Amino acid sequence: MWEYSWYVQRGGIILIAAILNLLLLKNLMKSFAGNRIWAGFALGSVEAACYLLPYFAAGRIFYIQEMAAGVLLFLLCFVLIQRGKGTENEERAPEKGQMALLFVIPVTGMLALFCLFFGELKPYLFSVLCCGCILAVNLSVFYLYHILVQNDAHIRQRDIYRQQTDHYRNQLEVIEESQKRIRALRHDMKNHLLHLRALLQHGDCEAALHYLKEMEGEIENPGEHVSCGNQEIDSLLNYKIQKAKQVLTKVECGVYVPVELMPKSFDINVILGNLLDNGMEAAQRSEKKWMKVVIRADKGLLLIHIANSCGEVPRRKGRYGFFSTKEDVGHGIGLENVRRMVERQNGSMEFGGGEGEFFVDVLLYVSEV
Amino acid sequence: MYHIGICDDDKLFCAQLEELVCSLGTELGRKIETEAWYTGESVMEDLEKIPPLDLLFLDIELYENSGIDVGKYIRREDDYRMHIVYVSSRQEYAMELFRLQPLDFLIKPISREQVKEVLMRSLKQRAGGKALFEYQKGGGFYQVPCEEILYFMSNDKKIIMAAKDGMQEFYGKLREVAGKLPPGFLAIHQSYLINMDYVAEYTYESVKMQDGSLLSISKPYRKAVRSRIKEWAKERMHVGI
Repeated sequence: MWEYSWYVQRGGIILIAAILNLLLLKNLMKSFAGNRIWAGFALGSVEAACYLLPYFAAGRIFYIQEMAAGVLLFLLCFVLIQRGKGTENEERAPEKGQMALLFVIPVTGMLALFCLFFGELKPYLFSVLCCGCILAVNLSVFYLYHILVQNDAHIRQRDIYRQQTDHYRNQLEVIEESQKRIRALRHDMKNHLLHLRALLQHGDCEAALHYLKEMEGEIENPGEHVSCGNQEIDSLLNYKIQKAKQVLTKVECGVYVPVELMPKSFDINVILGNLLDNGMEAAQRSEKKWMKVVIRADKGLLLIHIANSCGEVPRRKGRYGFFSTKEDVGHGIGLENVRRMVERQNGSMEFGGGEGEFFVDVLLYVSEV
Repeated sequence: MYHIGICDDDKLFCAQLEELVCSLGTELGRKIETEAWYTGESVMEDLEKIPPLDLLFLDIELYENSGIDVGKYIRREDDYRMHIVYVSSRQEYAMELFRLQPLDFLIKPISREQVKEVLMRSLKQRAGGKALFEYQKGGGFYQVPCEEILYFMSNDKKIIMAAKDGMQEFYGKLREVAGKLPPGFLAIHQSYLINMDYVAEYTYESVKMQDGSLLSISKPYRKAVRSRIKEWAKERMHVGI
């Protein structure tokens, strides 16, 4: 009877310790967002300290008391850390199923350990139990990893959607501005015509031409650089080219894409967006600061050509032969993404350049995008 | 002599383009004759009477019959020999244009470089077409301009040749045929050889020809075909503005 309650007490303490461990790990992960190894290391040290302290302090082994003291100390640390962190948990709590799975890992582990130390099971039953536990742990780990990967994909997609929303907002502004200008012109049309007539009646052709040119300028919308009618491409290019014009001296753009052609917006956004960003960045750091964009659809193909000035001659890097002009380690991710998407659609991508000039050519099949 | 037509309701533009084309002709060492129309109806009427044009610059926004109507009229019997270059002051254009297989699409104002590139491309395509392909059938030798051949297809020991005026069959090997052809032809399959000028649409796995036949690109040829297409497209990509 006494032995039984001893098991229960000990089991209970282990359970509390494990739960505390988990909670603390979760919190630490957040504060050490950059480095998970550090989080694990910190947790391990705190835990070891908490358990060893009462052991050395007491000088001899109390089974239950020593462990209970350790857990109490650990609890103290936990509360301290929690209070120090404050409560800024705005993140959505994981779903119940995921939480349950997360608990499967320590619980099965503990069950196995418990049976190992205290259960008087037959060896073959014990091994079956152990195998079952390990299987359960592995499965839940794999499933959790799967969820993690899915989450990652969602986050990336959300970023792209956010970008796209930005582009659309910009395009909407461009269209509104155009409409405003046209409305204004229509409103003033009568006056303009009267003025022109007067000029022409006096035979002042020069002045009339000049006046017409001014009117032209009034219709033209400085924010609208591309209007091929394809909303997808218009909005992306208007956004990017507007940005490019702010930092570069010369930006040329020729887009020949039919209105009805609707490439998968997700992919075209990544491909065009990344390439334009790269080109813009390189041109910005060069002396001549120019960029040229040509997009053309013909015979079932979508052709993209982006050329820009660049400071130094780009050097090759990596096994894909990517050009890079940057020193940072993180560079090449954008291009890698582009390459992956182009390849997924059976397209091809090619770089070239020299003498302060760099270009990238992309060929995509409209049927695939 | 290269016959070039220009059809635009803007007379000033017509005159400027005529001048530009003629000066480019001197530059390229080619004799060029131009003719201009200001309405869609007049060009449709005249096309019957004059010798066939090699190249036509066609405005989309004409008064009554639009450039698209004129294009449909020119292509009415699946005749894709005349090169059409559409010219427009608007950037927008509809998918409908695609079906008319224009050589190019230019947006006003157009630059000298653009016209030169288009003209050179047109000349190059025609030059390849002037070559003759000779084959033996029965006891006799026959000749057909390469320009009129859409594709070759091998079937056992026979070769089927799809040309403008129908199918022809003769004995031979596709490899030998390929050796006798100008560079505008492309092998997309062990038993298909196509004329790139007559392609209506490319996908990664197949090619649709202008006569509507769908030919598959076999797996080992796909990458090579893609790089050939890219070579073909490169010039156009780089002179885009």
